[in-house]
Amino acid sequence: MSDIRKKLDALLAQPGLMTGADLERQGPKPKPPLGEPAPESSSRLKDLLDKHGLVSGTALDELAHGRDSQRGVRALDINEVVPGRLVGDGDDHFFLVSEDFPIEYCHGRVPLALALDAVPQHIALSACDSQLEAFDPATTVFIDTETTGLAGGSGTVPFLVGVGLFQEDLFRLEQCFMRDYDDEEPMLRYLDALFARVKTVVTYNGKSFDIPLLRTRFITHRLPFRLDAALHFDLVHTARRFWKRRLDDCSLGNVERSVLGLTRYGDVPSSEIPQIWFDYLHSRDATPLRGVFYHHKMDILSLVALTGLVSQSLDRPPGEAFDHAEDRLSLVRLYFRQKRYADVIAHGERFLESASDDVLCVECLEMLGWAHKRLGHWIEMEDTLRRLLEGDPAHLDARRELAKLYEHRKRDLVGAERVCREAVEYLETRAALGRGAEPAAWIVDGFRYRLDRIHRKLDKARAHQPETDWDE
Amino acid sequence: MNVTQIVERLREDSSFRRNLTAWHTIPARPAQYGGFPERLHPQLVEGLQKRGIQDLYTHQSEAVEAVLNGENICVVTPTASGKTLCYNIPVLNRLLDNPQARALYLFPTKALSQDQVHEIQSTVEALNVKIGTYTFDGDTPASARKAVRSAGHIVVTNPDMLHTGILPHHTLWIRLFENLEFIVIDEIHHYRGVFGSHLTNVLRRLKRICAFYRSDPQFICCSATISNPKEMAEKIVEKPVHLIDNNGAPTGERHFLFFNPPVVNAELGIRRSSVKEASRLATQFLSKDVQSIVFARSRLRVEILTTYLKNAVRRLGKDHNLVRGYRGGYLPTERREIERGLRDGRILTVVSTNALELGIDIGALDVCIMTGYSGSVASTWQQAGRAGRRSGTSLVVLIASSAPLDQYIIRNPEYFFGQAPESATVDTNNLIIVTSHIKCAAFELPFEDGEAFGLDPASTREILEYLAENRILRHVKNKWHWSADTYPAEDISLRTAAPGNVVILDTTDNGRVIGEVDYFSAPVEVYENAVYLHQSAQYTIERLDLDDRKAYAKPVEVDYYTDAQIKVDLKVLDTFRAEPAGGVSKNCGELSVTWLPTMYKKIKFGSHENVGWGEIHLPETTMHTAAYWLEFPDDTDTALGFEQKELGEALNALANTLRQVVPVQVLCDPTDIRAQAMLRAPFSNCPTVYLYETYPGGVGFSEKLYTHHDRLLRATLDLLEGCPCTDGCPSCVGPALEIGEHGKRGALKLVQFALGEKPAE
Repeated sequence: MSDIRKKLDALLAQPGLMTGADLERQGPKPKPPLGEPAPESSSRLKDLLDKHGLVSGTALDELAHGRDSQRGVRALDINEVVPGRLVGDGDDHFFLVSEDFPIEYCHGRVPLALALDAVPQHIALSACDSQLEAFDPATTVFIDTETTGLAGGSGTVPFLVGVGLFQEDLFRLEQCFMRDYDDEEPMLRYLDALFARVKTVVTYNGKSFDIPLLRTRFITHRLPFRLDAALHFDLVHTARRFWKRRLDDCSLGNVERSVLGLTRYGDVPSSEIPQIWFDYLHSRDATPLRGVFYHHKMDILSLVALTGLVSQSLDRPPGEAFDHAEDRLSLVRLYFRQKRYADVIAHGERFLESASDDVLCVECLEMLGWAHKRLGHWIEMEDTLRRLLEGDPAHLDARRELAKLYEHRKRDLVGAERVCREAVEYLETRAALGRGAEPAAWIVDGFRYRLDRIHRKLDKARAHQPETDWDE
Repeated sequence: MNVTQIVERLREDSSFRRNLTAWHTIPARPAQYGGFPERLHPQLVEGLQKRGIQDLYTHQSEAVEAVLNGENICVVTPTASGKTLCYNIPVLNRLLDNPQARALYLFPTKALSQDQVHEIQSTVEALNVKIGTYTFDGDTPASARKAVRSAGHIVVTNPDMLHTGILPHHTLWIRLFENLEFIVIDEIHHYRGVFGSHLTNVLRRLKRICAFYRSDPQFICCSATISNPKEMAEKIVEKPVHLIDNNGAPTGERHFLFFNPPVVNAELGIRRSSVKEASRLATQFLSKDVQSIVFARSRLRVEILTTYLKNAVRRLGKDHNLVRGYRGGYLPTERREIERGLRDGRILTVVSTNALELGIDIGALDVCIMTGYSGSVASTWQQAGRAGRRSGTSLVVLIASSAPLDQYIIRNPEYFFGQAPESATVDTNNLIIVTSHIKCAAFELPFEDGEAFGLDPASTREILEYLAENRILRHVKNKWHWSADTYPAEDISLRTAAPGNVVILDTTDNGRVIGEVDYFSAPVEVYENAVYLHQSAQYTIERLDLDDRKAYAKPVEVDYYTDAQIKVDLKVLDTFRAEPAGGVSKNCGELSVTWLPTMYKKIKFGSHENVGWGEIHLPETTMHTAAYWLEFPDDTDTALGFEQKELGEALNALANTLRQVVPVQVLCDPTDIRAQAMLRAPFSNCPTVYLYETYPGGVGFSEKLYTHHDRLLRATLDLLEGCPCTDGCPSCVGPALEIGEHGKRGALKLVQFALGEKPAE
């Protein structure tokens, strides 16, 4: 047997040593078979390395854990846990679990078919990415990965890569699994062939996690990464735009529960997944992986369902897109962000008809006011700003916009003077009462300045009136 | 008045000459030119000429020629001899031929990186081509990083960033690694000891990544004068290196003077303060408009000297901004401003710690005054190198303090002038450091069977197996894969772990940041009621909040400064191994070292009298580290016929000698290890000498010392017996003045005793 301790002892002595003659060697110790826990002897090398934290943290603590799981029940092969097949050639294979779903299959309350009918323009709008107008479900792959960690960098490996594609009248979900590190290469080759057929990728947070991670894996295996040429629909951004207002946490699990109405059974928490795989490498018992495969399958089905739901929601007439007021307002915000002012007005007006929450209404009125302004609807703008001030007298932007509207658009200096004066009086009263947060000095000054200018204009207009008459 | 005239004046000034112990003249040397190598791109030669460079010095020509021939080089030159051209010319030349090529520059500090980028950019402007030079370090904003990765022809960074930010993300840097042709390592002498071991291993990882992307870069190293630059460079880059040390830059005549301040109290042997003498001398040069640099050994002394000189310059009726202080703790912008001021002559005198010893570009000055001996031959020459223009005379004055080491050096000038500069040592295969970097390397790319990492393939495999047994790696087929849920580079610091600087805020000026101080120095420099000096402005510290890393200060005007007293405590936490060896017992284990600032003294400016004191109420700062120690038996004094006092002196002398021997024996830097003797150690109740590592947690030196206990003592004995001095000198136990008259003989007896040999009578 080899003599790790001796060699490492020798290493210890090598630097700074001229002859090596006075080395105190310890006798060689039998090396334990690979994969077994290191003997808990107090060899001085081990002590030394342990003392310096070189092997601290996960590994040793988990050894005991790993042993526990080996006790009792018979270890199950991966194929006994999730039936699949080996794919590859020669000695190189990976484990592929393939499952077909009819498109009528409902994930939560959403049928997969919805995604097949997704309208490209809606997808593009929801992603704020006009390139996605080329979205075609037939050439789209839904991707999610389970990895050995979240740290990033080139040492993180995706041991489970899921790819879902619509094929004619079914949805095929393939889960590519690495039984060990050497399965990675055939898996990536398989994915490479599949990616060649793909024009769009759908992920949840893939822009910052899954795709860069996959790119790194392809580069380190010297394979081209074809997804760089594909369009990317990252649902996490869309989800945040629609549901952030209502859900504090826009993790996929939470969105799934709240939006798709889905409950998972026998799921495993994401944070435990890397260690389950590491344990499997040593114990070869695939039993705990059942939960990981389930978790992963649910994630990908959710991508499909969410894609369908997003498109469908945008297809509905104003006011019917979502059940919750917050979500409907988010939709108004989305149109607003995309400068689609006619849609802002249509959806905004419908929102106001049904909404009861003052804060949400104020936000909606703000957007409506802007939309009218951009479209030159001065009458509607004035009306909107008035409604806004009824709801929120402290809305100084609305007062300012109203003053500008009177002064510059309607050329109604008297009206403008009144709005400004009211604003200044309002601010002064508020300051005198010491109520609310003190507005910044420049805001008050801004209104005073505007008021002065309007007064000057008024004086000038009054002074000029007779002159003009006289000239004529 | 120019320097030549001043030197003549000093020569005739008998009251000045009376205090000199040496007047060493280094003759002027004319420039030696080597010409532009013919293979250089004409556009580059033209651009350099446009910048006023009409010819290359011999060392520059040879360097460029060697790089063009595909060699790795190490250029050794003194300060201000145009070393940057030695790497910028070949790199720019290649970039003109192939705009795809890439170069990576490594500097030990961020400040030096900034300097470099400005320097290259101005050359590039003269070339009128598009060559992107960027720094990539902790300060690079996330938005700019992408551009650096793809468009940076020359990426300027530091080893720490390479280690944590670039290598683990190599797939983001494909453009760089696929086309990397040059790696420039400046200030290579800086990478001694632990830092050097780390750098070598980071470079091993870098070469591994380059091999993956099929590039094979050349190394261009630069070093200040040390005695073994070639060996050092070859150890760090692990390739044959062509040494270039035929410096062709001209220098004017240089005068190196040793000045011992006059004795003011003959009975007590008290001399005039070196700080006052330095101030007096510097004022003379100031009044004659001669540009000078004054080195002082601590931050506090820098501020005191700056205060004195600012007052002096005011008395001369000139702008006090002609005098500036410079030290760690000034904010980067302030430092850059001072460096510029020195280059363009707006600043006449700068007072600095060794912060200006490192290659920061401040141009060449006329005079260098060293307040106290820096402690090493190499760094003394480096500081002296700050004075010396290409033509004209320059002057260097070393002013001794009363410290025994200073007094020894000043009284034995031939010791200094005859001594080769210290050699730098680096242990590239420190097991713990290698193992740490093998983890990082495996994270970056799996190891393959038969692959070697620094060590031979078999030893590499042993480490890989060890890591696999502990489930950090996994061996499958012929590869070793990273198999943990962590990012290993994050847990490995290339330097002493520094938990963030403490900033000093002026509470009367909206909390403006005045300066900063590193975490471990904060309790000693910015304790409550400390007088904090910044550019000689006085502040008193109102509160130190170590948790928030903030010290609150307000400006004051007082006529004293404060100086803290620190108590250092050692405590043995755990003994890993112990066994009798010869007459003593050798041990290695874990130690806690505690610093506790206890009180401060108020010291009056000018007279330096003690005008009061105060207590410091701060928690102690503790570091856990590894140590090796020798325990002498309880009755050593009677066994060797020592008095208590003699034994104390002997132990101290032995500790000092061990400190000399250890770096050579275990290849560490002298600052990596500290020695402390205790007459009665609390742990063992015995006379004990501790050698402990300054790197938190230790990196295995103690373990090695334990293994090499006999060899270490034997080398100590050789040194003591071989040193020609009688009662001690800085090369062995330390100057007799410091160590006591029995020191050397006592140490000799202790070593023989420890080796189990009968002391020779």
